[in-house]
Amino acid sequence: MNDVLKLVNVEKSFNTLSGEVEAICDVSFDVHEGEIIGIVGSSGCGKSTLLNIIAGLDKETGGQVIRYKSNYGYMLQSDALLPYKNVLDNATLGLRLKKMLNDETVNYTKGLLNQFGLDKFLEKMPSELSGGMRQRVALARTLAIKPDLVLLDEPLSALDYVTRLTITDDIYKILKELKVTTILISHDIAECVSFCDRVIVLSKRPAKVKNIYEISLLGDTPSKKRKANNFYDYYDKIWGDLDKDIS
Amino acid sequence: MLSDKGVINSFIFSSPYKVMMSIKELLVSGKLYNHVFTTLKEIMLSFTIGSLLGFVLAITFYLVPFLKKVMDPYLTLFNSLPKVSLGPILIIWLGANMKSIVVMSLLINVIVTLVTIYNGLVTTDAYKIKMFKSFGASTYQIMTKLVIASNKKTIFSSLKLNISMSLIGVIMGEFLVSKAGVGYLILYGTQVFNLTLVMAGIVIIMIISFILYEVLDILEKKC
Repeated sequence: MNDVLKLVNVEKSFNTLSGEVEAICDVSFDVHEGEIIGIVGSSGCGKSTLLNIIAGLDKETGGQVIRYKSNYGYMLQSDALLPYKNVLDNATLGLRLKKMLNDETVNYTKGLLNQFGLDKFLEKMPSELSGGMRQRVALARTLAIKPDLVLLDEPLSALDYVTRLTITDDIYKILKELKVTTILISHDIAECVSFCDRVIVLSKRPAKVKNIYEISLLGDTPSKKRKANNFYDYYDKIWGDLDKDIS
Repeated sequence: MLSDKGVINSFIFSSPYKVMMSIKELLVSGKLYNHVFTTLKEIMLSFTIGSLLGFVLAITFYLVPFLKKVMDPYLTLFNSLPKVSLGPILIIWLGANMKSIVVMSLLINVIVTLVTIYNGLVTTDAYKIKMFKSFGASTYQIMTKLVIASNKKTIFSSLKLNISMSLIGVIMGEFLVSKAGVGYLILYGTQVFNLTLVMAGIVIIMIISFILYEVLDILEKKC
Protein backbone atom coordinates (compact mmCIF):
# COMPACT_ATOMS: atom_id res chain seq x y z
CA MET A 1 0.00 0.00 0.00
CA ASN A 2 1.39 3.43 -0.95
CA ASP A 3 2.05 6.05 1.68
CA VAL A 4 0.24 9.36 1.45
CA LEU A 5 1.95 11.00 4.38
CA LYS A 6 4.81 10.30 6.77
CA LEU A 7 5.58 12.13 10.00
CA VAL A 8 9.10 11.70 11.34
CA ASN A 9 9.86 12.91 14.88
CA VAL A 10 7.64 15.97 14.43
CA GLU A 11 7.95 18.63 17.13
CA LYS A 12 6.16 21.90 17.70
CA SER A 13 6.75 24.54 20.32
CA PHE A 14 5.34 28.01 20.82
CA ASN A 15 7.03 31.06 22.26
CA THR A 16 4.94 32.67 24.97
CA LEU A 17 5.61 35.45 27.48
CA SER A 18 6.42 32.82 30.10
CA GLY A 19 8.85 31.03 27.81
CA GLU A 20 8.80 28.23 25.28
CA VAL A 21 5.84 25.85 25.46
CA GLU A 22 6.21 22.43 23.86
CA ALA A 23 2.96 21.35 22.18
CA ILE A 24 4.05 18.29 20.20
CA CYS A 25 7.04 16.10 20.96
CA ASP A 26 8.57 13.47 18.72
CA VAL A 27 5.44 12.32 16.89
CA SER A 28 5.99 9.75 14.14
CA PHE A 29 3.51 7.76 12.08
CA ASP A 30 2.65 7.13 8.48
CA VAL A 31 -0.65 7.18 6.61
CA HIS A 32 -1.38 4.66 3.86
CA GLU A 33 -3.55 5.25 0.84
CA GLY A 34 -7.26 4.61 1.40
CA GLU A 35 -7.10 4.10 5.17
CA ILE A 36 -8.92 6.07 7.82
CA ILE A 37 -6.78 7.07 10.78
CA GLY A 38 -8.15 8.35 14.04
CA ILE A 39 -6.24 10.53 16.47
CA VAL A 40 -7.54 10.70 20.03
CA GLY A 41 -6.15 12.57 22.98
CA SER A 42 -7.28 14.59 25.95
CA SER A 43 -8.58 18.10 25.42
CA GLY A 44 -5.83 20.61 24.58
CA CYS A 45 -3.19 17.95 23.98
CA GLY A 46 -2.26 19.33 20.58
CA LYS A 47 -4.44 17.30 18.19
CA SER A 48 -5.57 20.30 16.16
CA THR A 49 -2.03 21.71 16.11
CA LEU A 50 -0.86 18.41 14.66
CA LEU A 51 -3.58 18.54 12.00
CA ASN A 52 -2.63 22.15 11.14
CA ILE A 53 0.97 21.03 10.64
CA ILE A 54 -0.15 18.16 8.40
CA ALA A 55 -2.34 20.56 6.39
CA GLY A 56 0.59 22.97 6.02
CA LEU A 57 -1.24 25.75 7.88
CA ASP A 58 1.38 25.65 10.64
CA LYS A 59 5.09 24.86 10.49
CA GLU A 60 6.72 22.18 12.59
CA THR A 61 9.67 23.33 14.71
CA GLY A 62 11.41 19.97 14.53
CA GLY A 63 11.31 16.70 12.62
CA GLN A 64 9.89 16.24 9.17
CA VAL A 65 6.50 16.00 7.47
CA ILE A 66 6.81 14.12 4.20
CA ARG A 67 3.83 14.73 1.92
CA TYR A 68 3.69 12.29 -0.97
CA LYS A 69 0.55 13.95 -2.27
CA SER A 70 -0.33 17.64 -2.02
CA ASN A 71 -4.08 18.02 -2.51
CA TYR A 72 -5.54 18.09 1.00
CA GLY A 73 -9.10 18.73 2.13
CA TYR A 74 -9.66 20.10 5.62
CA MET A 75 -13.00 19.96 7.43
CA LEU A 76 -13.23 21.93 10.65
CA GLN A 77 -15.30 21.75 13.84
CA SER A 78 -17.45 24.53 12.45
CA ASP A 79 -19.08 24.03 9.05
CA ALA A 80 -17.80 27.52 8.10
CA LEU A 81 -20.44 27.93 5.40
CA LEU A 82 -20.67 31.41 3.91
CA PRO A 83 -24.12 32.78 4.83
CA TYR A 84 -24.30 34.89 1.67
CA LYS A 85 -23.78 31.93 -0.72
CA ASN A 86 -26.24 29.16 -1.54
CA VAL A 87 -25.57 25.45 -1.01
CA LEU A 88 -24.05 24.85 -4.45
CA ASP A 89 -21.84 27.94 -4.29
CA ASN A 90 -20.65 26.92 -0.82
CA ALA A 91 -19.92 23.38 -1.97
CA THR A 92 -17.95 24.63 -4.98
CA LEU A 93 -16.04 27.28 -3.01
CA GLY A 94 -12.86 25.20 -2.76
CA LEU A 95 -12.94 24.59 -6.51
CA ARG A 96 -13.30 28.31 -7.13
CA LEU A 97 -10.42 29.19 -4.78
CA LYS A 98 -8.22 26.55 -6.38
CA LYS A 99 -9.29 27.74 -9.85
CA MET A 100 -10.64 24.27 -10.66
CA LEU A 101 -14.20 25.37 -11.38
CA ASN A 102 -15.58 23.92 -14.63
CA ASP A 103 -18.63 21.95 -15.79
CA GLU A 104 -17.05 18.62 -14.91
CA THR A 105 -16.10 19.59 -11.35
CA VAL A 106 -19.46 21.28 -10.76
CA ASN A 107 -21.28 18.15 -11.91
CA TYR A 108 -19.07 16.05 -9.63
CA THR A 109 -19.98 18.33 -6.70
CA LYS A 110 -23.67 18.10 -7.58
CA GLY A 111 -23.24 14.32 -7.54
CA LEU A 112 -21.74 14.50 -4.05
CA LEU A 113 -24.60 16.71 -2.83
CA ASN A 114 -27.00 14.23 -4.38
CA GLN A 115 -25.34 11.38 -2.45
CA PHE A 116 -25.79 13.43 0.74
CA GLY A 117 -29.49 13.90 -0.06
CA LEU A 118 -29.07 17.62 -0.73
CA ASP A 119 -29.98 17.66 -4.42
CA LYS A 120 -33.21 19.54 -3.71
CA PHE A 121 -31.42 22.18 -1.63
CA LEU A 122 -28.85 23.48 -4.13
CA GLU A 123 -30.36 26.96 -4.24
CA LYS A 124 -31.08 27.16 -0.49
CA MET A 125 -29.08 29.42 1.80
CA PRO A 126 -27.19 27.92 4.80
CA SER A 127 -29.63 29.57 7.23
CA GLU A 128 -32.39 27.37 5.77
CA LEU A 129 -30.53 24.13 6.57
CA SER A 130 -30.34 21.98 9.70
CA GLY A 131 -27.02 21.43 11.51
CA GLY A 132 -26.62 18.00 9.96
CA MET A 133 -27.30 19.29 6.45
CA ARG A 134 -24.80 22.10 6.92
CA GLN A 135 -22.09 19.61 7.90
CA ARG A 136 -22.92 17.54 4.83
CA VAL A 137 -22.46 20.62 2.62
CA ALA A 138 -19.13 21.29 4.36
CA LEU A 139 -18.04 17.71 3.64
CA ALA A 140 -19.15 18.01 0.00
CA ARG A 141 -17.04 21.21 -0.21
CA THR A 142 -14.05 19.28 1.18
CA LEU A 143 -14.51 16.31 -1.16
CA ALA A 144 -15.31 18.39 -4.26
CA ILE A 145 -11.61 19.11 -4.83
CA LYS A 146 -11.00 15.31 -4.97
CA PRO A 147 -8.44 15.46 -2.17
CA ASP A 148 -5.71 12.86 -1.75
CA LEU A 149 -6.05 13.21 2.00
CA VAL A 150 -9.02 14.45 4.02
CA LEU A 151 -8.41 15.96 7.44
CA LEU A 152 -11.43 15.95 9.75
CA ASP A 153 -11.03 18.07 12.90
CA GLU A 154 -13.91 16.98 15.15
CA PRO A 155 -16.33 17.78 12.33
CA LEU A 156 -19.43 16.50 14.11
CA SER A 157 -18.77 17.76 17.63
CA ALA A 158 -21.43 20.48 17.36
CA LEU A 159 -24.22 18.07 16.39
CA ASP A 160 -26.70 16.24 18.60
CA TYR A 161 -26.06 12.53 19.29
CA VAL A 162 -28.66 11.03 16.92
CA THR A 163 -27.73 13.29 13.98
CA ARG A 164 -24.09 12.59 14.69
CA LEU A 165 -24.55 8.81 14.46
CA THR A 166 -26.53 9.09 11.21
CA ILE A 167 -24.05 11.44 9.57
CA THR A 168 -21.09 9.35 10.72
CA ASP A 169 -22.52 6.41 8.75
CA ASP A 170 -23.14 8.60 5.67
CA ILE A 171 -19.66 10.12 5.76
CA TYR A 172 -18.04 6.72 6.29
CA LYS A 173 -19.87 5.22 3.30
CA ILE A 174 -18.82 8.08 1.02
CA LEU A 175 -15.20 8.06 2.18
CA LYS A 176 -14.90 4.32 1.70
CA GLU A 177 -16.70 4.44 -1.65
CA LEU A 178 -14.36 7.16 -2.93
CA LYS A 179 -11.39 5.41 -1.24
CA VAL A 180 -10.32 8.70 0.30
CA THR A 181 -7.45 8.59 2.77
CA THR A 182 -8.64 10.28 5.94
CA ILE A 183 -7.34 11.48 9.29
CA LEU A 184 -10.06 12.04 11.88
CA ILE A 185 -9.43 13.94 15.07
CA SER A 186 -11.89 13.30 17.85
CA HIS A 187 -12.17 13.20 21.60
CA ASP A 188 -14.94 10.62 21.22
CA ILE A 189 -13.30 7.20 21.57
CA ALA A 190 -16.38 5.30 20.33
CA GLU A 191 -16.53 7.44 17.21
CA CYS A 192 -12.85 6.87 16.50
CA VAL A 193 -12.97 3.12 17.08
CA SER A 194 -16.06 2.60 14.93
CA PHE A 195 -14.92 4.93 12.14
CA CYS A 196 -11.20 4.24 11.76
CA ASP A 197 -8.90 1.51 10.54
CA ARG A 198 -6.18 2.66 12.91
CA VAL A 199 -6.34 4.78 16.05
CA ILE A 200 -3.40 6.77 17.35
CA VAL A 201 -3.59 7.73 21.02
CA LEU A 202 -1.78 10.90 22.00
CA SER A 203 -0.55 11.71 25.48
CA LYS A 204 -1.39 14.97 27.24
CA ARG A 205 0.63 18.05 26.29
CA PRO A 206 3.28 17.87 24.94
CA ALA A 207 1.60 15.34 22.67
CA LYS A 208 3.50 12.10 22.08
CA VAL A 209 2.27 8.93 20.41
CA LYS A 210 1.26 6.66 23.30
CA ASN A 211 -0.18 3.79 21.37
CA ILE A 212 -1.34 2.85 17.91
CA TYR A 213 -4.23 0.37 17.56
CA GLU A 214 -5.09 -1.51 14.37
CA ILE A 215 -8.89 -1.77 14.47
CA SER A 216 -10.62 -4.84 13.12
CA LEU A 217 -14.38 -4.87 13.64
CA LEU A 218 -17.20 -6.64 11.84
CA GLY A 219 -19.72 -4.42 10.06
CA ASP A 220 -19.83 -2.12 7.05
CA THR A 221 -20.90 1.04 8.88
CA PRO A 222 -19.73 2.67 12.10
CA SER A 223 -23.11 2.04 13.75
CA LYS A 224 -22.84 -1.69 12.97
CA LYS A 225 -19.23 -1.78 14.08
CA ARG A 226 -20.30 -0.42 17.45
CA LYS A 227 -22.24 -3.68 17.94
CA ALA A 228 -19.21 -5.90 17.24
CA ASN A 229 -18.12 -8.16 20.11
CA ASN A 230 -14.61 -6.73 20.34
CA PHE A 231 -15.69 -3.06 20.08
CA TYR A 232 -15.42 -2.46 23.82
CA ASP A 233 -12.02 -4.20 23.99
CA TYR A 234 -10.59 -1.42 21.84
CA TYR A 235 -12.66 1.19 23.67
CA ASP A 236 -11.39 0.07 27.08
CA LYS A 237 -7.76 -0.07 25.96
CA ILE A 238 -7.88 3.46 24.55
CA TRP A 239 -9.82 4.75 27.52
CA GLY A 240 -7.16 3.20 29.74
CA ASP A 241 -4.46 5.04 27.85
CA LEU A 242 -6.29 8.34 28.21
CA ASP A 243 -7.30 7.69 31.78
CA LYS A 244 -3.70 7.32 32.96
CA ASP A 245 -3.00 10.82 31.73
CA ILE A 246 -6.01 12.34 33.46
CA SER A 247 -5.30 10.79 36.85
CA MET B 1 -49.46 75.45 15.33
CA LEU B 2 -48.19 76.91 18.60
CA SER B 3 -46.51 79.61 16.57
CA ASP B 4 -49.66 80.34 14.52
CA LYS B 5 -51.77 80.61 17.69
CA GLY B 6 -49.25 82.98 19.26
CA VAL B 7 -48.28 80.60 22.11
CA ILE B 8 -44.64 80.85 21.07
CA ASN B 9 -42.90 83.77 19.42
CA SER B 10 -42.89 83.13 15.65
CA PHE B 11 -40.01 85.61 15.18
CA ILE B 12 -37.71 83.45 17.34
CA PHE B 13 -39.15 80.00 16.63
CA SER B 14 -40.54 80.64 13.12
CA SER B 15 -43.35 78.36 11.88
CA PRO B 16 -43.63 75.44 9.43
CA TYR B 17 -45.60 77.64 7.04
CA LYS B 18 -42.98 80.41 7.11
CA VAL B 19 -40.21 77.86 6.63
CA MET B 20 -42.00 76.34 3.62
CA MET B 21 -42.53 79.79 2.15
CA SER B 22 -38.88 80.65 2.68
CA ILE B 23 -37.79 77.47 0.88
CA LYS B 24 -40.24 78.25 -1.95
CA GLU B 25 -38.82 81.77 -2.21
CA LEU B 26 -35.27 80.40 -2.43
CA LEU B 27 -36.42 77.94 -5.06
CA VAL B 28 -38.16 80.55 -7.19
CA SER B 29 -35.25 82.99 -7.00
CA GLY B 30 -32.87 80.20 -8.09
CA LYS B 31 -30.70 80.68 -5.00
CA LEU B 32 -31.65 77.31 -3.53
CA TYR B 33 -30.10 75.41 -6.44
CA ASN B 34 -26.79 77.26 -6.02
CA HIS B 35 -26.61 76.67 -2.24
CA VAL B 36 -27.74 73.03 -2.38
CA PHE B 37 -25.45 72.25 -5.33
CA THR B 38 -22.44 73.77 -3.52
CA THR B 39 -23.14 71.81 -0.32
CA LEU B 40 -23.86 68.59 -2.25
CA LYS B 41 -20.61 68.94 -4.21
CA GLU B 42 -18.67 69.35 -0.96
CA ILE B 43 -20.48 66.42 0.68
CA MET B 44 -19.93 64.10 -2.26
CA LEU B 45 -16.24 65.02 -2.44
CA SER B 46 -15.72 64.56 1.27
CA PHE B 47 -17.88 61.41 1.41
CA THR B 48 -16.10 59.72 -1.51
CA ILE B 49 -12.57 60.60 -0.41
CA GLY B 50 -13.34 59.90 3.28
CA SER B 51 -14.97 56.54 2.57
CA LEU B 52 -12.18 55.39 0.27
CA LEU B 53 -9.44 56.58 2.60
CA GLY B 54 -11.12 55.07 5.68
CA PHE B 55 -11.69 51.79 3.84
CA VAL B 56 -8.12 51.53 2.55
CA LEU B 57 -6.70 52.38 6.00
CA ALA B 58 -8.99 49.81 7.67
CA ILE B 59 -7.83 47.11 5.23
CA THR B 60 -4.18 48.11 5.75
CA PHE B 61 -4.52 47.97 9.54
CA TYR B 62 -6.26 44.59 9.27
CA LEU B 63 -3.49 43.16 7.09
CA VAL B 64 -0.66 44.78 9.11
CA PRO B 65 -1.68 44.51 12.79
CA PHE B 66 1.68 45.96 13.84
CA LEU B 67 0.84 49.21 12.05
CA LYS B 68 -2.50 49.32 13.87
CA LYS B 69 -0.73 48.87 17.21
CA VAL B 70 1.70 51.69 16.42
CA MET B 71 -1.01 54.04 15.14
CA ASP B 72 -3.62 53.28 17.81
CA PRO B 73 -2.59 55.94 20.39
CA TYR B 74 -2.34 58.63 17.71
CA LEU B 75 -5.74 57.72 16.31
CA THR B 76 -7.32 57.86 19.78
CA LEU B 77 -5.70 61.23 20.40
CA PHE B 78 -6.80 62.59 17.04
CA ASN B 79 -10.30 61.19 17.41
CA SER B 80 -10.78 62.96 20.74
CA LEU B 81 -9.68 66.30 19.29
CA PRO B 82 -12.53 68.75 18.52
CA LYS B 83 -11.96 69.13 14.78
CA VAL B 84 -13.48 72.61 14.66
CA SER B 85 -10.40 73.82 16.57
CA LEU B 86 -8.35 72.98 13.47
CA GLY B 87 -10.52 75.29 11.33
CA PRO B 88 -8.33 78.42 11.58
CA ILE B 89 -5.20 76.41 10.78
CA LEU B 90 -6.86 74.86 7.74
CA ILE B 91 -7.89 78.29 6.47
CA ILE B 92 -4.30 79.54 6.75
CA TRP B 93 -2.84 76.41 5.18
CA LEU B 94 -5.37 75.79 2.42
CA GLY B 95 -7.05 79.17 1.96
CA ALA B 96 -10.62 80.34 2.43
CA ASN B 97 -12.07 78.00 -0.16
CA MET B 98 -13.77 74.67 -0.76
CA LYS B 99 -10.54 72.77 -0.02
CA SER B 100 -10.68 73.83 3.65
CA ILE B 101 -14.32 72.76 3.91
CA VAL B 102 -13.69 69.33 2.38
CA VAL B 103 -10.58 68.73 4.50
CA MET B 104 -12.48 69.77 7.65
CA SER B 105 -15.13 67.20 6.78
CA LEU B 106 -12.49 64.57 6.01
CA LEU B 107 -10.92 65.06 9.44
CA ILE B 108 -14.24 64.01 10.92
CA ASN B 109 -15.35 61.20 8.62
CA VAL B 110 -12.11 59.31 7.91
CA ILE B 111 -11.58 58.22 11.51
CA VAL B 112 -15.21 57.15 11.93
CA THR B 113 -15.10 55.11 8.70
CA LEU B 114 -11.75 53.59 9.60
CA VAL B 115 -12.79 52.55 13.12
CA THR B 116 -16.21 51.17 12.09
CA ILE B 117 -14.91 49.13 9.16
CA TYR B 118 -11.81 47.90 11.02
CA ASN B 119 -13.93 46.72 13.96
CA GLY B 120 -16.07 44.77 11.51
CA LEU B 121 -13.12 43.20 9.68
CA VAL B 122 -11.49 41.86 12.86
CA THR B 123 -14.65 39.98 13.79
CA THR B 124 -14.42 37.79 10.66
CA ASP B 125 -14.90 34.17 11.67
CA ALA B 126 -11.47 32.60 12.30
CA TYR B 127 -12.78 29.18 11.22
CA LYS B 128 -13.74 30.58 7.83
CA ILE B 129 -10.32 32.16 7.38
CA LYS B 130 -8.74 28.81 8.26
CA MET B 131 -11.06 27.06 5.79
CA PHE B 132 -10.01 29.48 3.03
CA LYS B 133 -6.34 28.96 3.87
CA SER B 134 -6.81 25.19 3.78
CA PHE B 135 -7.86 25.57 0.13
CA GLY B 136 -4.67 27.54 -0.51
CA ALA B 137 -6.53 30.85 -0.92
CA SER B 138 -4.37 33.93 -1.52
CA THR B 139 -4.59 37.00 0.73
CA TYR B 140 -6.48 38.74 -2.10
CA GLN B 141 -9.02 35.89 -2.27
CA ILE B 142 -9.43 35.87 1.52
CA MET B 143 -9.98 39.62 1.56
CA THR B 144 -12.39 39.87 -1.39
CA LYS B 145 -14.34 36.63 -1.08
CA LEU B 146 -14.48 36.41 2.71
CA VAL B 147 -13.40 39.36 4.85
CA ILE B 148 -14.95 42.15 2.77
CA ALA B 149 -17.87 40.03 1.51
CA SER B 150 -18.90 38.96 5.02
CA ASN B 151 -18.64 42.55 6.27
CA LYS B 152 -20.82 44.10 3.59
CA LYS B 153 -23.40 45.09 6.20
CA THR B 154 -20.77 46.78 8.40
CA ILE B 155 -19.31 48.61 5.40
CA PHE B 156 -22.72 49.96 4.39
CA SER B 157 -23.48 50.95 8.00
CA SER B 158 -20.20 52.84 8.01
CA LEU B 159 -21.09 54.55 4.71
CA LYS B 160 -24.48 55.57 6.12
CA LEU B 161 -22.76 56.98 9.18
CA ASN B 162 -20.26 58.69 6.93
CA ILE B 163 -23.07 60.59 5.17
CA SER B 164 -23.98 62.26 8.48
CA MET B 165 -20.34 62.84 9.36
CA SER B 166 -19.61 64.40 5.97
CA LEU B 167 -22.66 66.63 6.34
CA ILE B 168 -21.58 67.74 9.82
CA GLY B 169 -18.05 68.44 8.56
CA VAL B 170 -19.22 70.35 5.51
CA ILE B 171 -21.70 72.52 7.42
CA MET B 172 -19.04 73.19 10.07
CA GLY B 173 -16.60 74.13 7.32
CA GLU B 174 -19.17 76.37 5.65
CA PHE B 175 -19.70 78.14 8.96
CA LEU B 176 -16.00 78.96 9.03
CA VAL B 177 -15.35 79.79 5.41
CA SER B 178 -17.86 79.93 2.57
CA LYS B 179 -19.61 82.19 0.09
CA ALA B 180 -22.35 79.70 -0.75
CA GLY B 181 -23.90 76.50 0.60
CA VAL B 182 -26.57 75.54 3.10
CA GLY B 183 -24.19 76.23 6.00
CA TYR B 184 -23.60 79.70 4.62
CA LEU B 185 -27.38 80.17 4.36
CA ILE B 186 -27.83 79.25 8.03
CA LEU B 187 -24.95 81.50 9.12
CA TYR B 188 -26.31 84.39 7.04
CA GLY B 189 -29.80 83.85 8.53
CA THR B 190 -28.30 84.03 12.06
CA GLN B 191 -26.36 87.21 11.28
CA VAL B 192 -29.44 89.03 9.96
CA PHE B 193 -31.61 87.45 12.66
CA ASN B 194 -33.81 85.75 10.04
CA LEU B 195 -34.59 82.58 12.00
CA THR B 196 -37.01 81.38 9.34
CA LEU B 197 -34.05 81.20 6.94
CA VAL B 198 -32.05 79.31 9.60
CA MET B 199 -34.91 76.83 10.03
CA ALA B 200 -35.25 76.52 6.24
CA GLY B 201 -31.53 75.70 6.07
CA ILE B 202 -31.93 73.02 8.72
CA VAL B 203 -34.91 71.49 6.86
CA ILE B 204 -32.88 71.46 3.61
CA ILE B 205 -30.00 69.70 5.42
CA MET B 206 -32.42 67.10 6.75
CA ILE B 207 -33.83 66.51 3.26
CA ILE B 208 -30.33 66.14 1.77
CA SER B 209 -29.31 63.75 4.54
CA PHE B 210 -32.49 61.68 4.13
CA ILE B 211 -32.12 61.40 0.33
CA LEU B 212 -28.45 60.38 0.53
CA TYR B 213 -29.22 57.83 3.25
CA GLU B 214 -32.05 56.35 1.16
CA VAL B 215 -29.79 56.13 -1.92
CA LEU B 216 -27.28 54.13 0.14
CA ASP B 217 -30.07 51.96 1.51
CA ILE B 218 -31.24 51.09 -2.02
CA LEU B 219 -27.63 50.43 -3.06
CA GLU B 220 -27.15 48.14 -0.07
CA LYS B 221 -30.24 46.12 -0.98
CA LYS B 222 -29.06 45.77 -4.56
CA CYS B 223 -25.55 44.60 -3.58
